[in-house]
Amino acid sequence: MNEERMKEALESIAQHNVPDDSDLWPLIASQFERKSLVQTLRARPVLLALVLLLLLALVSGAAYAIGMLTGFVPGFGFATGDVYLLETPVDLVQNGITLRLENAVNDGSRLWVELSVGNLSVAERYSQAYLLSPDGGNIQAQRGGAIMPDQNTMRLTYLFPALGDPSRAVTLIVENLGGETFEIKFALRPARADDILPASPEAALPVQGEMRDSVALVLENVAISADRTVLQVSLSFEKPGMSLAAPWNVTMTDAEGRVYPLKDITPETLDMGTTRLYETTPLQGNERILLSLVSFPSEGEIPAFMDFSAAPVTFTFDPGQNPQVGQVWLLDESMQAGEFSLHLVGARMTSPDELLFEFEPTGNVTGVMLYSTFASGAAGGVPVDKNFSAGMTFSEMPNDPFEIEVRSVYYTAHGPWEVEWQAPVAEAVSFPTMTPAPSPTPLVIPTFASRDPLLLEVQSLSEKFDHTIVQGPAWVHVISENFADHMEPGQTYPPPYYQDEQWNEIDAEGWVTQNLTTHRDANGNILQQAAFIGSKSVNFTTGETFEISPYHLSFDLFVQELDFALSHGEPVTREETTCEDGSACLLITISNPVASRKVWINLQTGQQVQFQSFQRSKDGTEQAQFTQRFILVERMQSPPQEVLDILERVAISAP
Amino acid sequence: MDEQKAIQKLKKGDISGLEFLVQRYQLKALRTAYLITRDTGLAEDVLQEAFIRAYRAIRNFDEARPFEPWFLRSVVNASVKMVQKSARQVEVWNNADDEVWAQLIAVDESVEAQVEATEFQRQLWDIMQKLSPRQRAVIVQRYYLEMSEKEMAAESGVARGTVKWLLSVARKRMRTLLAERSEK
Repeated sequence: MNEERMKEALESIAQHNVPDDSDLWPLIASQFERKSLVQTLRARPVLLALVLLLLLALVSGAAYAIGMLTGFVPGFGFATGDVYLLETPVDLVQNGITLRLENAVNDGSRLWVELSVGNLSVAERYSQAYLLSPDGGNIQAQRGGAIMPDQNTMRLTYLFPALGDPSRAVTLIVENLGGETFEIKFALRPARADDILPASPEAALPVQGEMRDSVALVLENVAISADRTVLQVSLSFEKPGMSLAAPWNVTMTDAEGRVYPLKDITPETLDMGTTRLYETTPLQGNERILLSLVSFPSEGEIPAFMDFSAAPVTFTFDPGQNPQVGQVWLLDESMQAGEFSLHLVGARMTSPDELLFEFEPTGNVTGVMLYSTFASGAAGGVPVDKNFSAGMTFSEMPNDPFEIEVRSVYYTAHGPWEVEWQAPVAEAVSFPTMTPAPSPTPLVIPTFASRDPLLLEVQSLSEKFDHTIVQGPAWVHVISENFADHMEPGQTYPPPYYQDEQWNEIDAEGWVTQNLTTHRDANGNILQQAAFIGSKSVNFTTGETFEISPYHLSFDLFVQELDFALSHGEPVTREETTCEDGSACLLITISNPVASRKVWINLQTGQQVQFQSFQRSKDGTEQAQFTQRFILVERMQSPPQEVLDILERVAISAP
Repeated sequence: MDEQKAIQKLKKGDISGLEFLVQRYQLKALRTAYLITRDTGLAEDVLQEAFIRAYRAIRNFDEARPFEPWFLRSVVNASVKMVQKSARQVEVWNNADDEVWAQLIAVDESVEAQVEATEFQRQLWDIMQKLSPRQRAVIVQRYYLEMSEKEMAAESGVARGTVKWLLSVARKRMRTLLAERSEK
């Protein structure tokens, strides 16, 4: 074959049909933006909130307007002033696209609407929304959000300024929704007493904790009912331009040492950067509550940054007439950005279009973000040995001295940040009962696409091990060692090594009823600890709380993955080998360009004893990425008392 | 910014890293997808999904390795799957392999006889239509992406046996045709 001619011909055909100026980035960016948003937004309890509202409407005979009452409205948050809710949901269908106005709340400061949209294709663009004001003008949405609970449904929310007269009919226009413009007319009605969970009147709120490193934790609002407590917590910054540079969360304990699982129910109406809304179990009254800002993984520290873009500190850099890739400039320039002392020690040209500026850490500064009118982009805060760097990219590398601004400074703020609060005696407020904990569903036996004998062999081995261990009622104690063989620059968690210990209580059918998981470092120090009870999981260290479905204990972590690999043509090898403890093992390797992995299975017990992900370079050598090795799996009648004590500290109301 | 930096940025969730990779590789990838799907719309769909998949998988990507081969491999595989599942492409591959390959070889030989380039392209494209998506992918990998047989075999997207079989059929047919011509 004339390979060159073939190449030229194929190139020519492709070039003719795919021109040189083809640019898919706008399409990809818009898709990405949408997916990213969907991924970023959590699935909020919108459905639950709606059910509660409907339930209230059905069960309550009270129908009087309430004025100037602060309280919690499900899905919306704490409302103030006169509160109005959607009178009736509105349904529209246009060109096959279904739209339902599900929810609307107007209080003294904002109007929030929630829409459910069906039959939109994934490729549809983002929509825009505005209100038609009585004077004929448009009131644009201040904020919008999108959640895709499933492939065919999208939930849109918009936030507008509060309506001047919420008793008048409202017209909402949603443009470019699947190419359609929807005009939604709706009416609001005054909220009834039972629509709102009133804020605790005796709570003496807000209450602010001690200001440390210019950050304080504030408990703003609390609403307590017979079946739950809702708390609004915020961060207060002493100086303008300050923000936290990491996700934040809080934990809640009381003087008795009880841990309250805080379920994050922050709605779109609040700025998640500074404010959170949590739901927890009902307070009985008079508890001494302690809320603590989580600083994970470094206890008592949290990354923060200060924005100086309004008044940046500047320095001048001269790259010279002919800067070369690899060229290094030794610098010694000290500057002051607000309270932060910065020390620039050098610069390096790392590529034809990038300069990397190196700073020596001073005080608690960990990074800076630079800006120049000559630069096309910037990145900051990458650790370089003991120093940190800030990069700037250029479409054309300057040849003359130019000015660079320090736009923001990243630093480590030191806590702890806590706020204490004495709960009042809970009033007997009538409010619908929360959904009960789900009962275990029948165990679903997965079906497999592959009929490969290897799959059957591995399946048989894993079933053998499960049958030996998963015999309840009992407790199953599991310890594994975890090795991160490849750490990213600046990675602080997970560490290169940690031990994972789990205590699982299982019932007669093998369902896990309680679990305590602890991660420890090589010295035995607890890195994080989490408990699962019934249908709730609460992480004592990070404060995160989730509702999770009951699960069946199994030590098979591989059969489904193997089935996927075999049925998708990924290369799979099988070899018999000897495990580290000298026992005969089966080693199965799945090769995949992204995530190749190996599993060692004890041929006698059937236990999957070790997992490893690795990458194979072109010369055939393998680099391990992550390894998990099980060192103990044992079944017993009861765990140590210490484990039971920890689990009993979790304050979860009985279903 | 270089490729390594772009991947590092992407691993940290900075989308400017993805933009860099899109700008650098989209044209070659789009053309690769087009040669396999024969449809610019399908090729664009393939590429959008491929870049989003790359974003999701980038955390596990070893940045010391080049991005292009890994990414193009995923584009080739996705293109084949896209054609196979697309209702717009009704294509049945039967045991006419030898015939198609014979035509391909004949066209290639006619190049040596100074057939005009445009005519060669037309004939080549006609013959490419007769190949199954997977076979087209093999041709694109071998002659457009200039991958060696060893590289192709090493990739997980196309089974080693398929590559060897396809290329050996081609070589066999070429020898047969040459032999027949010399006899004449």
